[in-house]
Amino acid sequence: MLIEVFRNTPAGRGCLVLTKNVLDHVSDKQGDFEIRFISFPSKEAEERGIDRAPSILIGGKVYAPGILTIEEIEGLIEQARPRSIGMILTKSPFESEDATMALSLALPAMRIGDPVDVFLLGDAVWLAKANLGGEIGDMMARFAEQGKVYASGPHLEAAGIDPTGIRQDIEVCRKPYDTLTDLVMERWDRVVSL
Amino acid sequence: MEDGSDPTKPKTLTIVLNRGPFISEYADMAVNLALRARKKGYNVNLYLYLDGVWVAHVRRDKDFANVGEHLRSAMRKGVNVKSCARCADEARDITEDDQIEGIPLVGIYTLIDWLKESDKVVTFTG
Repeated sequence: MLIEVFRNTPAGRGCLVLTKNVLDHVSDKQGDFEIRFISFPSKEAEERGIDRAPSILIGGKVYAPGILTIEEIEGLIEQARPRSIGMILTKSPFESEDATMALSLALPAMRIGDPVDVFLLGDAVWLAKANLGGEIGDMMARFAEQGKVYASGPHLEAAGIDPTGIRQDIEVCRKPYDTLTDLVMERWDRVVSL
Repeated sequence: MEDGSDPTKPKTLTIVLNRGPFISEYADMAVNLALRARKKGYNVNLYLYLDGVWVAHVRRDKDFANVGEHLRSAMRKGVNVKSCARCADEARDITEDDQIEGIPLVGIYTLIDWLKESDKVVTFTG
């Protein structure tokens, strides 16, 4: 996990204490940590939207300013831990904006390291079509580059969607509620159902 | 288990259903998921909320597959089902006697307790 520490130049007492606490925490823990020290102010800090030092940014998603204790740093690292997200979609892209909203959340979540799966149930199986057009079609294509898509087999059949007409990177579930139970209970840390 | 819960205890799934039967597939989805999760050994709660309370009203046998029959089957397998009292009795005149036997009318605090106690929550809200 990447821990970026933003320090004044020259580093004052607060920056030195924060640095020590970060190093103490990391040396005490097992795990793959990378620590970067970044001057503040600097172009890089500005580009990251950092407006004060000392401060830390963990995993590119959890930011905290101030002279943090080892316990506070530990809590922030836990917050930044990647969490797998499962999104259960039930509506077609033609009847609601739910799919667009879900993928609008999923794409940035994946960018900051949270894996996202999408499960297509009910009319949401229309999202599985390979030649899906419009903005939602582009979003599905972008999502599928990194994210995993599952689709309910019985709902695909009920909708008359031929297996050859769906995206080939989609996993078709013959027993959708079996698979969904396993994903919800054992794989996903967080579940969003729309 | 990293959250500190007992790994020997079955995990708990709570499902919240807001939609009524026969108007969409949401009720069937909720009951199918509940049944499957229960068969896999999880503790399963199903909270019938808003129009979801109508599912408990499908009591009699019918000559076609219906969600009431599936719900009764799920309850026999151990799915814990409760209805929102305010949504049923107060808002829709559905008394406990109008419902499938064994489904109590309870307050919203029961749902809050379930949410707090559950490992996972899935909502079918349409």
